[in-house]
Amino acid sequence: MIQLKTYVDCTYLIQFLILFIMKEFILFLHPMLAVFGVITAVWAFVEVLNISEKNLKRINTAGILTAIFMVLTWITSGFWYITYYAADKALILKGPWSFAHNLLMESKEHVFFIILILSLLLPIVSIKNNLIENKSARTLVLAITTIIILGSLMLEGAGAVISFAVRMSLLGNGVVSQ
Amino acid sequence: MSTIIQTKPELDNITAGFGVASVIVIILNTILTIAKEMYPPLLAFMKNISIFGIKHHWLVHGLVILILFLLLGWYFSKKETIKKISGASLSKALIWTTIISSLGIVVFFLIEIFK
Repeated sequence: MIQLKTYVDCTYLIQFLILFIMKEFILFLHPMLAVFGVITAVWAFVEVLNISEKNLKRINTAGILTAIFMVLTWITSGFWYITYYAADKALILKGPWSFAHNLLMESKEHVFFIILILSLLLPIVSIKNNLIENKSARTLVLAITTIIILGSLMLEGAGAVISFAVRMSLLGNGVVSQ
Repeated sequence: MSTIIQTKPELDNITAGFGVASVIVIILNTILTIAKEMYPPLLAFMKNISIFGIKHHWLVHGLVILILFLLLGWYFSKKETIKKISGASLSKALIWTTIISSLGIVVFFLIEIFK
């Protein structure tokens, strides 16, 4: 009987640990994937500035990777937002930095779609055009990557403020001591 | 050995088509964001749609944007006249729609805070 009870307790503990680790893992995974997307966009930008026959394949690779990382960011951030964010939202709204949800999170979740669409456009431009011959397409790639890089960095900054707003709420409620 | 960079002003049909689709979808994204916040029945409708057993307006919003991008991109790619758009003008259009649409979303939620 004791063995059975211990077994049940352990199962709950393991389930709790899996859920806890998964939440933290997903929370860190989505900005990390977005950073990878930014890095590959910078890569595409630099390769286009130094365009030659040698780096055409690399530009395509960088464009495809940017799209993949941004789609993965959408999936992981969406999973976290839909599954876990409600508790953080409640905390933020009760705390001193409620603007972090009302302004930053609300804006961030919708502005992200612009980055996602442009990330999907990037490989289309790089694959479907000969970037060596086509200055017009090169200009387009530079514009798209610039928007992805700057936009994503702003969203990363907003995400950092949102995370800090949770901490501010916990500090304000005396849950966490300084 | 130096590389000779030639110039060919025309964009590929698919690039121009999906580029124009991006501009339109970025604007529609802002319109849908503001519309669902200002018109609660629309938000409620979006919350009631189940995708893979999950009901969430943000998921529906994202899929609507993605599907519109693919459909409009496919539609505009078929148009021969779309080739007339230059990369420079498409770049300017993308940059300005991104700035204005993003600011539109931020300013809208800023106004909502002070309501």
